[in-house]
Amino acid sequence: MEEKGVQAATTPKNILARMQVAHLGKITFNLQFLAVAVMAASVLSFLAMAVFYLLLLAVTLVTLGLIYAAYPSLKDLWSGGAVLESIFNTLAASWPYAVPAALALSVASIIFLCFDYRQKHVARITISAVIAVISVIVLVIKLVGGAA
Amino acid sequence: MNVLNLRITGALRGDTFVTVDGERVEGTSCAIQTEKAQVRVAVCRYLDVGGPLWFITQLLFFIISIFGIFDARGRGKYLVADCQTDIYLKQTCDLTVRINPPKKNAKVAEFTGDIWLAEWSNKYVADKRAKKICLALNLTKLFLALAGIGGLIALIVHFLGFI
Repeated sequence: MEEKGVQAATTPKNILARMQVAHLGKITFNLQFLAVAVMAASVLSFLAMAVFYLLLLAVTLVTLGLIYAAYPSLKDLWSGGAVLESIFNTLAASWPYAVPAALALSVASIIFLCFDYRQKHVARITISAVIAVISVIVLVIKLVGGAA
Repeated sequence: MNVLNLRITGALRGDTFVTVDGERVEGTSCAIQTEKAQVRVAVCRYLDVGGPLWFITQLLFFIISIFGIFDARGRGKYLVADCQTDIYLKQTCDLTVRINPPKKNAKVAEFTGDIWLAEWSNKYVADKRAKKICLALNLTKLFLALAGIGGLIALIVHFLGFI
């Protein structure tokens, strides 16, 4: 009647080890989004410059240029292109690191999460698989584009 | 011969499981045949807390996850399921055990079905040893984070040429 539930000391070592592997899988799953964000910024960096200037143009048109009368310092944003360009160029050059990192993290998370036989991480594994496929496609496009 | 049709629902994650007379139930439903007039249903939970190697692993995970920013949030690591219930059987009985997520002093499980039962214990309780380990781990993580932030500030200051 006074039996206790499973206590910390009695958690079998193999189950504890699998819990740690699953934990690592969750961490790599979360980390892959950082790599994906850098990858997206790298691949779409050419768009970022255009979006920035389009936004500035839209603000200028909507306010009929009066915003510069109210806030003259905003004019500097037009000349800030050189700084932005260097940032975007650095981002664009980061794909050889970002894409393999995203691919490696997604594959690692799939492997680690598959080790957890006690719980099915269907959603996480699916998302990681999609990211892995996207990473491979981006890698192939970049490599073929670079070779061409 | 009595038959207990058992169905398990709710927060049945990998660390929680149900036993009937000490025998672990695999899956989320099963039919248990027994000559007994009563069986003991218990809900157990493995704690994600271990020894020194586990402690070091957690610190490593903390660093890998960039000081816990990308870490997986674990709830009630030190909570143990204390749930013991006697089920009185009459020929064929249907029992549904709905397991609640771990929360201190919360009910571990809800038992529903056409059954008579005697609930001996049913709540999540803190495992003292595990709680101490978790506290020590959190303190170590805090010091690690402070050391990391200090190091980062020193690096930034150094590279910006303020020193």
